[in-house]
Amino acid sequence: MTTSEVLLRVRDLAVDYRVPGGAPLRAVDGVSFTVRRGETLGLVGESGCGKSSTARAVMMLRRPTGGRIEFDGQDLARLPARQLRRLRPQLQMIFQDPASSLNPRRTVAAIVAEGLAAHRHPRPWTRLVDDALSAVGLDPEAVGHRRPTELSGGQCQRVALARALVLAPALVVCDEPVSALDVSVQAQILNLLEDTRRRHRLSLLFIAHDLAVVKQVSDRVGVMYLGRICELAPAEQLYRQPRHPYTRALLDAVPLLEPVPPSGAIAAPGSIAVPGTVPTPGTASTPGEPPSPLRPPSGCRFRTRCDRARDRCAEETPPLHPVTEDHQVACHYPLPG
Amino acid sequence: MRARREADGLSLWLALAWVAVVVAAAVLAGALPLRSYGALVPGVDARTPPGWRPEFLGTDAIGRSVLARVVHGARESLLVGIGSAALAMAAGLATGLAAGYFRRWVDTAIGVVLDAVLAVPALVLLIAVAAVGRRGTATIVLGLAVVGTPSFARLARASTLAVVDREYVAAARALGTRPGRILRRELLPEVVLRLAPFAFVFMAFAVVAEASLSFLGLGLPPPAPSWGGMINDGRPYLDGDPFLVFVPAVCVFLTVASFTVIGERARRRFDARESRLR
Amino acid sequence: MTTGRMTILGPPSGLPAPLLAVQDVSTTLPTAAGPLHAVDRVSFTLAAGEAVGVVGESGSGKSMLARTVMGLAPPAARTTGSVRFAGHDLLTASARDLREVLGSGVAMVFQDPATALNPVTRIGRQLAETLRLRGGLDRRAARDRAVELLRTVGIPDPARRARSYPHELSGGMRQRVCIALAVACGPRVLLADEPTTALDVTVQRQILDLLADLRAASGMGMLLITHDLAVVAGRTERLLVMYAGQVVETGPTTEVIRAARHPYTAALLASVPRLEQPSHTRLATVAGLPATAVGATRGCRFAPRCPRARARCRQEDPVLADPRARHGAVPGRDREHAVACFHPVGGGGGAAVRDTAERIR
Repeated sequence: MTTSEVLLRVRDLAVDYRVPGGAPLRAVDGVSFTVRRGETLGLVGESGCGKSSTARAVMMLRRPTGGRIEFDGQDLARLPARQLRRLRPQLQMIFQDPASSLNPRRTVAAIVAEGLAAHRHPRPWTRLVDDALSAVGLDPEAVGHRRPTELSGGQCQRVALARALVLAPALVVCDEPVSALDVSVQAQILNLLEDTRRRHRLSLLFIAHDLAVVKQVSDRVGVMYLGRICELAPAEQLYRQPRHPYTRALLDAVPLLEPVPPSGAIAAPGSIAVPGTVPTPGTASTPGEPPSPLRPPSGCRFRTRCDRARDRCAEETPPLHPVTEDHQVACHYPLPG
Repeated sequence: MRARREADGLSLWLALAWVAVVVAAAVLAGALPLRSYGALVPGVDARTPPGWRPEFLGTDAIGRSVLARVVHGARESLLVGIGSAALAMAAGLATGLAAGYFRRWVDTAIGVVLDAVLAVPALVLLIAVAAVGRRGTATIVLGLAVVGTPSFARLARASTLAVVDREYVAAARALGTRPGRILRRELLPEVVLRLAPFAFVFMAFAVVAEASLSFLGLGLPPPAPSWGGMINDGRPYLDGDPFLVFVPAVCVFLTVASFTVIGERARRRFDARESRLR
Repeated sequence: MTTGRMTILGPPSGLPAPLLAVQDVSTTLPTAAGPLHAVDRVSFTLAAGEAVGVVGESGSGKSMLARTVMGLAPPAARTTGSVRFAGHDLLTASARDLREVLGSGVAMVFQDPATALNPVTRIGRQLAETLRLRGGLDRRAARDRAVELLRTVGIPDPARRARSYPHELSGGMRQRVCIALAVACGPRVLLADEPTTALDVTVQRQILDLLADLRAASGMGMLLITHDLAVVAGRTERLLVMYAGQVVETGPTTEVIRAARHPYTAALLASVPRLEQPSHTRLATVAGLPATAVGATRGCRFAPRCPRARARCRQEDPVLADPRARHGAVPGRDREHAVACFHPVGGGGGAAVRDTAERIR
C-alpha cells in the first residue's frame, strides 16, 4: 500500500479522560488503522469500547493523549491551530443525534453555510448551499428557511451531511449516523451515504454499534473492545470468518430476522406454540458485560468473557497481527481460519 | 386545571398591563399635564398639612404633588431596574460564557473574582459604591449591576455548560469555526434565553433595592423623586397620613410582582419549549 | 366478544384461554393540530405462556398501546374499548382494582432501566419493599426472596449486589433488576416495552434469553414491544405490526416475517440491513416518514408512502380481516395471518385478504 493511497493513518492513538479523584480513564488505548482513499472503514463495538472517542480524536475535537493522526501525511495532533483550521474543510463529521447536532435556533440555510462563513468563503453562498441541500435530497426552497426542530430526524441527518459536503471534504467521519433513526428512514440515509461517497469520491470512517449496518457500508471493518481494536479485516471476510472470539460473540448475539432453528424441532408455523419452544439462536450467549474501562483486565481485555482464554491471555497483551494478508487479529488463540 | 391556567393567563395580562403603565409613565412623565415634581403645589405653604385634598392623591410633607412625584418616580425606578439588569446581564454573559466555554484556567480565574464579589454582602457593597460615587442614578445602577453580575455570571456559566457539549457546538468546531464566532452564533442566543427569566426577577430586586437605598439616604439627591425616596420621606407621617407611604409602596409592590410574574412565565415557556425539543 | 365465548366454550384443542383480551382499544390524545389517534381500534389476545410481539416505528402507537393496556395512558387521553384481564376491564377498573392488578397480575418492563429505578434506594431494598407491600411477606422473608429473585434474573453474587445502588450497576444489570421487580409478585402478563433498546447487542441477547426463561418457567404471557423486527423474530409466537396507530398485519411471527402481506411490513423487512447480505447492497426504501394519524383520516394510512396504493386505498379504510366474519365464532382464529390492505403483497386482491392457518392444516 503506497502512501498516496492512504488518506488517514492513525498510529497508537491514546485518548484519556480525566476522572475526578482518580487515575485517568483510558478510553482509547493504542489504536492503529488506516483509511484509504475512496474507502469506507467501519468501526464497530459496544458502548464504552472507545469508538466514539476515536472518532472525536481523529476530528481533533478531543486532543489525543498519545499517538499520531496522519491526515494526508500531516500529523493533526502536532499541527498549529491555524493550520489545523485550514485543513478542517477536508475533514468533516456527522454526529449521532440529529436533533442535537444542529443548532435549533438557526435556519437550515445558515447551518449549511456555517462552514463557508467560518472559512471566509467569498459570498454569495446561496448557490453552494442550495447545491449541497439538493445533493442530499432536500428541496432548498422548502427547507432552507426552516429550523431543525421543524424537521424529522432523517431530514436533520441530511442537513448535517449537506453541512459537511458544502466544504468538499475528503474524509467524512460518521459517528452512529443512523442509530437514532427509524428503520425505514435509516435505509434512506444509508443509501444516501453510499451514493454521496461514490459521487464525491469520499472516504468514510463509519462508526456504529449495529453490525449489519456497519457491514452494509464498509469495505473493511475494525472491531473494538475496551479501547482496543481486536480484529480488522475486509468486511466480507470478517463477517464470514471471524478470527477473534469477541467478533464471533458479537455476531452470534445479533438477532436474526429468520433465525436458524436448532435441528428441526420447531413448531409448524401457525400452530399453537407451546411455551418455551420458541426457536432461539443455536449458540450459547456470551456471559457478562464489558468490564469498566477504569479497571480493564490485564493482558487481553476480552479474556474475562472468553471461553478460549488461558493463562497467557492474562499475562501478555496480544498485539494486532496479520493472520492473512489484510486480516489482522489481536488474539493469542484465534479461531481457525 | 383549566381554572388554574386561566388564572395564570389573567395574572400575566395584569402584570404586562401594569408594566406598560409604568413604562408609559416613565417615558411620558415630562409630557403629561402634571405639576412639577419639585415645586410646591400653588396655594400650599409650609404650614399646610400633608395630604392636602384638592390635589389628586394629595401633597407630600412639604407640599409637592404626590401624583407628579409618583409618575416621575416611575422613570427612576424603571431606569434603575432595567439599567442595572441589562448591565449585570451583559457583564455576566461575557464572564459566564468565557468561563463555561474555555473552562480550565479561565473558569478558575473568573470563579475566584466572582466569589470575591459574592463574599461581600450585597448591602455593604451597595453602600460602598454609593458612598464612593456621586449620588445619582448612574451610581445606583452601577452598584446594583456589580451586585448582580456574579449571579448572572454563574447562571450564564451553568447554561453554557449545559449547551457546550451539544453536538452542534462540536460540529461548529469541526467546521473550523473560530471560538469567538462559536460563542456569538452557537452559544449566546441560547444562553441569553436561559437568562431572560432571571433578568426579570433581578429587575424586581433592583426596584426594591433602589427603594432600600433611598430609605438609607443613599438614593437620589433631592428634589428628584423616586419611589424609595418617597417612602422614606413619608415615613414620619405614617400615623397621620399613611397615603404618603402607601402610594409609592403600592407602585413598588405592583411593579416587583409584575416583573416576577413575567419572569416566571418566561421561564415556564422556555422549559416547555425545552421539553418539546427533547 | 371473544373472551366471553372462550371462557364459556373452554379452550378448544389445547388452545390456552386468553389471559389478556384487548378488544377494539383506541387511545386518542388531544394535540394542537387535532385529536391524535395514537392507538386506533386494536384487538388482540394473549394466552398464558405465549409471547406476542408488537412492532412499529416511532409514532406507530406501540408504546401507547402498552400504556393503555396498563391503564397508564396520560390523563388527557381518551380511551375506548376494553382490556379484559382476570375478570376486570382494566380501562374502566377503579384505581383500587387497577392497583391490585398492576404488579401482581400485569407487570411492565421499560426501555430505560436507569429511570425506572429509584436512584437513592438500594436495589435489594426496592425489591423487598415491593414484596412486602404486594406479596405480603414479612421483612425477613422479603429480604431473602429479594436475593433469590436477583439470582433468578442472573445477577452474580446477589446477596452482595442487593446492597448496591442502581447507579453502581451496568445497564444490563439494571435491566435485570427492573425485570426482577416486574416479576417479583409472579405476574401472569408481562409487558416489555423496548426492554433491550438501550443495551448492547451481547447484553440484549442475555436479556431476551432471560425473559424467555422466565416465561417458560412461570407460564406468564408476554407482550414484547420493539422497533426491531429481528428482536421479535424467534422470540415471539405471534406478531402485530403497527402503523400510525393501527395494526396493519398480524399472524404467526415466522409467517409474517417469511411472507409479509402488507406492503409496509414487506418494506420494513426489506429496508433492514442484514448480516448475510454483501457489503454495499442497495437497501430497499420506503419514501417519506412514518406517519401519525391526526384529526379525521380517510383511507389507508400507509397509502401516501405505498407503491401499491390505488384510488381505493385513499378512499376506504382497509380493515384487518376479522376471522369470525367468515368462519363464525371459532376461538383462536385471531391467531391467523391477517392483513389490512386492499392490494396485499404476494397475490390476492379486492377485499382484505387473510392468509390463514388453514393452508398449513
